[in-house]
Amino acid sequence: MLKTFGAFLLIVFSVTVGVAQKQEIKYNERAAEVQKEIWSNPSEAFKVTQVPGEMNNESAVIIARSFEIINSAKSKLKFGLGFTQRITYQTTIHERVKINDKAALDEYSTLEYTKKLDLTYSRGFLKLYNKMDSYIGAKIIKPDGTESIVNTNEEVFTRDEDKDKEGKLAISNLQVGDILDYYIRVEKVQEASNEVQGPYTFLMGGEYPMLYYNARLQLDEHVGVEYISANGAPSFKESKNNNGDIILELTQKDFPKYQSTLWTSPLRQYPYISLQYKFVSKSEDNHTHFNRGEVKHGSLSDDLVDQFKRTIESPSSALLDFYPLALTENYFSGAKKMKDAPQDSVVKVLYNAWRYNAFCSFATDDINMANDINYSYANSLVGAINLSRMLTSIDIDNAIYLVCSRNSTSLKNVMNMNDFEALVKVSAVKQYWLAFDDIVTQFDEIPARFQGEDAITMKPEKQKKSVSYYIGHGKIPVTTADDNTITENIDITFDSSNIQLLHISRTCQQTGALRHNDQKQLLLMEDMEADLATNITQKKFVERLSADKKNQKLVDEFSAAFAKERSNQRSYFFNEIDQQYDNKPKDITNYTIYQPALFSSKESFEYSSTFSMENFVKKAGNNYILEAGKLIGTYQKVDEKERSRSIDVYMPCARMLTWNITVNIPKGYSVKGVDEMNKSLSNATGSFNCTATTNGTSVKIKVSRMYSNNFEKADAWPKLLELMDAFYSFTAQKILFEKIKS
Amino acid sequence: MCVRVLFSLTLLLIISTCFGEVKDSNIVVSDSKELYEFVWQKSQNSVQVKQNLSTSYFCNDFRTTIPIAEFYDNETSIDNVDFIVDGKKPKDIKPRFSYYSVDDYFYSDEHICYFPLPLERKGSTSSVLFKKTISDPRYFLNVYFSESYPVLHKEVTIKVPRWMKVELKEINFNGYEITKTSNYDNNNDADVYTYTIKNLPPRENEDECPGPSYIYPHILVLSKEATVENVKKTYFNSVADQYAWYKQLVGNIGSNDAIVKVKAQEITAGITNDLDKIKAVFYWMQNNVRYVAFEDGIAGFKPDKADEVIRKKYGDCKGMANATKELLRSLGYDARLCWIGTNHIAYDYSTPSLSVDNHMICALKFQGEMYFLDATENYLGFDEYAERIQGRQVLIEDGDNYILANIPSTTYQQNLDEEKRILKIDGTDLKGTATHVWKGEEKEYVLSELNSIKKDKSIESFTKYLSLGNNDYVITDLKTSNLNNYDKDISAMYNIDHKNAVSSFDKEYYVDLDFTKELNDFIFDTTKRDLDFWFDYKMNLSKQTELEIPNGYSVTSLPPNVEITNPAYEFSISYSQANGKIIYKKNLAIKNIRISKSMFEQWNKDVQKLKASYNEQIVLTSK
Repeated sequence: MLKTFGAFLLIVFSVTVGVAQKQEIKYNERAAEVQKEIWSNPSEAFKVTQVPGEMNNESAVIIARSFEIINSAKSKLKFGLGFTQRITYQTTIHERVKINDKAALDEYSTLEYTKKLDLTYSRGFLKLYNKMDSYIGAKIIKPDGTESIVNTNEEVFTRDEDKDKEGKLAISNLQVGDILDYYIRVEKVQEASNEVQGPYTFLMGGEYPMLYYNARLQLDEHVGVEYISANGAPSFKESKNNNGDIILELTQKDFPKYQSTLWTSPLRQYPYISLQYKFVSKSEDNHTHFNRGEVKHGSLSDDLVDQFKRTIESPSSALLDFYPLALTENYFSGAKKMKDAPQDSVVKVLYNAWRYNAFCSFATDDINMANDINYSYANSLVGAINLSRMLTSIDIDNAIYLVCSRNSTSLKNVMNMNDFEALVKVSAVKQYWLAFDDIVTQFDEIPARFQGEDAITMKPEKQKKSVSYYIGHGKIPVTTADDNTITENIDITFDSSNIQLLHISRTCQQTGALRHNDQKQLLLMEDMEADLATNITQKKFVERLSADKKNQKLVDEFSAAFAKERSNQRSYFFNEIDQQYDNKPKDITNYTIYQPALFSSKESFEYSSTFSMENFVKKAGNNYILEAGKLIGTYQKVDEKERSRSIDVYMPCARMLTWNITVNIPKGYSVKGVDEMNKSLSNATGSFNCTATTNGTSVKIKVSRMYSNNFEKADAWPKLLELMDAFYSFTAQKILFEKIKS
Repeated sequence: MCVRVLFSLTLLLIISTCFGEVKDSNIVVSDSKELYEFVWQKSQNSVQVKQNLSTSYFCNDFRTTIPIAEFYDNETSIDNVDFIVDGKKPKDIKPRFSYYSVDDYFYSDEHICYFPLPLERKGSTSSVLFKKTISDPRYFLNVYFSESYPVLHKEVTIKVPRWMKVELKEINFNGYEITKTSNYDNNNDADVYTYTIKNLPPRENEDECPGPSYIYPHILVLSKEATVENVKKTYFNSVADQYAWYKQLVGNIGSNDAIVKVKAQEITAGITNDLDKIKAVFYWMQNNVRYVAFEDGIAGFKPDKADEVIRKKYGDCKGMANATKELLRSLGYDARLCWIGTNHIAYDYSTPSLSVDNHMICALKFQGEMYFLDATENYLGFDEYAERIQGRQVLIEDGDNYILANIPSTTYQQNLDEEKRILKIDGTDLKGTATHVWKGEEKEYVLSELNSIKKDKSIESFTKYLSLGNNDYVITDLKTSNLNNYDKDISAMYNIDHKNAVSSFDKEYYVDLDFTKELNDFIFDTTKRDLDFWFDYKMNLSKQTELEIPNGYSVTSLPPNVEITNPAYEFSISYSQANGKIIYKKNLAIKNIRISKSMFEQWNKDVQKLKASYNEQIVLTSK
């Protein structure tokens, strides 16, 4: 019996080994075919062995890069499913690059790839393929023209399972001065699934200069293609082959490398193409914005808005959460009284109830009250849908504004719903904006990244049993420098026994977009939750938990977690000072938050700290020099290479920063250098002012810096430079405290 | 083989850092029991080490989740994982097993088993049990007692059958509540050693601290031999055994000597001087062979073939050492392989074990002197040594024998960072020229930074490095020596326009001649730092500035001189006048990289003196 069983095992083992060997042979045969296909008949661009002499100082030069997709679909009869599509996707990235230095050598010396992933579904007689294989190749062309093919069998596997292999290859024999010619081919087969492929982004430039670029897509005749050409990017050349396949091809030459520059929005300023496609079955054709057999070039936002409209008109129950409305009703002691209340009051409470619900619903199975939870963001699309539906249900006029961030793709270049964000505008006595962003975003505050942007509006209209939305267009308002401010009042005294040690009392008031960072850094979640709860007449979290005796353990534990976090607050103030001055305080004696500013744009976030600081006072014989310019924090001089500019300037927001500094003159000293600090400069892009006076006991300095707009044309750059230079020159200002001769 | 021996502990430290505050007293290890037992596996004709590791975590304040991570590799398997949460086994927790990617390693056989372990409420306990097997006693290196969390109670039992000869060396036990008992297990004919540990603080994550074998209490396990069924298996009874084991691994590498020889001749073509040939080989290795770290089972100890390293143009330390050796031998030089533990490791070969070394280099006996060549140090010259290997004991192959020697300990003078400036006042600017020279590890640092930056940015980056990113310190006409010649010092010459460096009030100039102010804020926070501080390498900074005194001005005040000398460091600042010039000299030397915690207070006082001088300016008054 044992013998028989052993023999059986041997047979099973042999069969398994046999299958594995067959698979390997098959893979190797295909790898050889792919290699022959890619390397045996290269285009002229992939034969180049010399780069222009002026590029010898580049780290690397992309001699040629190609990207190709070949897609096809076949109908297959499947047991239990009838006819279904088997779709194949063949993607090839091929690049030839000249390595000019060790930095590039380091970057190109390793390839990492998913070699195999087989998610094929198999049950009974039904088998649905979903698998992919990758084939890689690399060859090296030495400066003398000799070519050697890299042995890809030297790869290692970081995952090595039958159906899932992750590979990694260190490119052998690669040296500075060589040309590396490599490719990655991915072949994927998928049945009964035709999800969207992409979006693929084709950048018209990159980290290194590129001499030749080609992108080619050969797609099944029943595929729907959508693409945009952003910021002056070219179009694909469209054609069809004999099988009716859609052919899209783009060839470009001589892309320069991108240079990083201050205050830019790359997806608004540099050319790129974004493309996505999908196999569209006949039955699907009327239910997707992809059109079977068609190439759509240009803005897709109308199609996506239609899709969004359908979603919000018939939202799934999982999407909707009307709990904030229940909290609001509770605030007004019932739905009827709420109806009688002024609409703007209702909107305000409803918005704060939404924030409370979104940001203060703490997990009770794993307590984490560390500062990082202050940095969570809401999904603005879900937030807007919910608020709009709730407002509509209580007959408050509102509209959803679909918008894109100024730092991201523009509205006309969106590819899918994830590219949109949303706000709600409410007309209730006055007009108010509701944003679904972070915990410190106030009622009627518009995040800076949306300001000045075009928007697509969706205005609801309540029907008998449903809500319809009507599409329109709008624009998001822009805040002024008066709305985004930082004002610091700084009082300086010299230590009585060590005049080089300053005691600084600093009070900061921040409004608009300039307050978010410090609010999230300094405020405690425990306090924010308590304020938000109180605002909507809820008990604060721990009190609410305490109402149920069963929760006593949770009460103790949350109290402990809150207490632990409170003990960290001093370090948050310490870090804030360190970041502001790039100099660690010697000690902090006091820190206070006076106004958390969670609710109204009329409130400033206000906090103070008292600390001592070294390194700002230099001894000079019997005298002392105060580096007064450092009292407003660090400010980097504009780099020489940034001084000329040809692209527009995307700044975060219009803003005004003011410092009111009082320096108490130590007894026995007089001051020099105060008058020299006075300066005033104003132009169309902003202003800089400094007034300094002394009355013999103290020096008063008022410094202000204002940027008028969040956006300037490139032509205005010299004016901005003028302001930045003036401000930088202030940071070098010094005051002499001269010993009065007795 | 690089860093294999302390790999798991290092990984645990990394994991602890990733997952947050290790000092978190919200979680404590309330009880831990670890059993290590040497067993004879007759079927495999081998001695194995079975481990039963159980750890109970207790929640002090509020419920949370612990990221459990246990490592394994080709020599260590995880045979079973079990866990209990508050007395029950949760069904929704599934341990995951995967490759573990470590920074700087291209590939290793290190794997991780990980899963989240909830502590369900204050006062609750969750426990984890791992059963592991080490396939060979050589790989059973040590037992560390510390955890990421404070340990209230831990019991470590090591069961050693009398047929197994093991030495258990107790390291860093002082100052901890550790007791040891031993008894005889009659049934198994084994000695049972039990260590009971109480109130052990958690592991720390501090920058620039000594390696764990210097800090944490642990047992260094020295497996010597086993005699089972009258057959003797020798592990590392002595360093000779360890060498013999290494020797049989490197003895059958099978390099193709002909290919190596052709390459060596190509590298040295046209060179007649022996030393120049040796240097040419060493610099060719540095320049052309990339360091790519591999750790894969026994291959973690066995170098790749020399011809393969030469062909691939990459290799790990073993492969690079072997290729260097074979290239030199093919030219007729007496080159040998060496095993060495970097200064990350507290041990030497007096405790033979795989935990003693973590690196391989090449030794060269040339004209009666022994030189050491480590091509993984990309930019150090011949006969220059990196701090991490200086003074370290090194095991050098010598046929069937071996040689134990030490790498030369160079003084701080090797690592010169010298700057000489000649300046004059122009309005509120200081203008003039500078020359800069770097040697030793300072040279290596500058070159490695420059070579990690894209070529088209290197001048800009070098300028920023020289100006410390200060856009008011404008550098022009930068010229450098040949930055590709590591055999020589490297130097740079440039013009300076330091804007706003001079303050002018009435008849006086106030001048700050020092814009770099090294170590100015290098103060140890003695309330926070628990561990000694180790610099990466010795410092030898020498800066001199000559300032021309403007016509019609005289020197009214100079900052104070500083003179601090002790065995570990020297700080010296001096101002003097001669020939119408002020001469400012600054010498900062870190002679011993190890600044112990007991020195922090004195160090802070000395840095304050430095700071006082930095914060004082020269006063020039109109006559």
